[in-house]
Amino acid sequence: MGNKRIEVVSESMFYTLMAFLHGECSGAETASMVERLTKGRVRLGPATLYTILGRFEEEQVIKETRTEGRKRFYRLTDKGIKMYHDELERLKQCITDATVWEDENNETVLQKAIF
Amino acid sequence: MKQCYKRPSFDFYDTVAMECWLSDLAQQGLILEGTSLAWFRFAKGVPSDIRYRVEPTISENKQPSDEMISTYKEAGWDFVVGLNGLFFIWKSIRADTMELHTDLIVQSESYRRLCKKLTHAALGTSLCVLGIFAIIIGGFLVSDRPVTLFLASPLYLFLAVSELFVVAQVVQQARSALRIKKMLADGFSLSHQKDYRKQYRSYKIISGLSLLFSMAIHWI
Repeated sequence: MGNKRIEVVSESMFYTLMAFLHGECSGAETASMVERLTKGRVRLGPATLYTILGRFEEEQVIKETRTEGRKRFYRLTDKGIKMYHDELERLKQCITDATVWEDENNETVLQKAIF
Repeated sequence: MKQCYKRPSFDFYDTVAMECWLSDLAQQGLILEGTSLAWFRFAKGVPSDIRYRVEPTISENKQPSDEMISTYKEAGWDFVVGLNGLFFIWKSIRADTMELHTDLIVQSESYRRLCKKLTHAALGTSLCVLGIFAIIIGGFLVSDRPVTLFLASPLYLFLAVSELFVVAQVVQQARSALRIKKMLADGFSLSHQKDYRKQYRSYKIISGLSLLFSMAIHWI
């Protein structure tokens, strides 16, 4: 099947990448790690989890390393690590932009209050 | 336990309509057990509140892996049956079960393979039908018979109408799946509740009419 690149990294995808940064994990471990990382704010439904794993494997973002009983274990590939860092950089830029914008607005509000 | 067989009288690829139809039947005591050819097999039991989810498959596997089945089960969803390698049907009897999907963008991605398959099917069918028409009309042109004879022959007319009906159906199926994918990608969630009877009233009428038309042509 012809691949279409993942265009948008959603929050669930980003946290899944983050969970794999720690090293090899299985699907279930990834879901519980995401829940722990976000203190329960982000939960991966089972279909969300397996769609992410399926797409990531198809796009060679993760790679299966071994199976243990029913469990399949994966790790990030170099492409996956790059994808995580690119997205992290984009999010950091968003925070920087928002902070600058907020500071500028606060100054304007302050100036209006003075004059 | 007694069994009965039914098949949906609506677009097979309208997953939300399918979920509602299965839940309605469960409330009448018909619990989905599996499929046999083009029919759904139900066990006759006590009326139950069951939520169904029809999930497009993301790989060529006809059945979910054991790991998937156990992860879904832990989340409160039991595997029921796979449909033609295109869908997996899951059910839950608990009202508080977490939804299968918690991310609309990822859910939209889950329709990617289905949309691609249906789009290819629609294009392939349309090309085949065009080819058939070209051969028939070409035959008339070569034999110097007027092409309008094509419309006078009940057999050719039946062929034309039924071919066009098939094209309309496959195009509609592809559009249904693409519409759901786009809706999810745009950030609108699936309601999982739908008045499919009202929506597909015309679908039933058209299917009935096409059957009557086929029978009429056969008699002529």
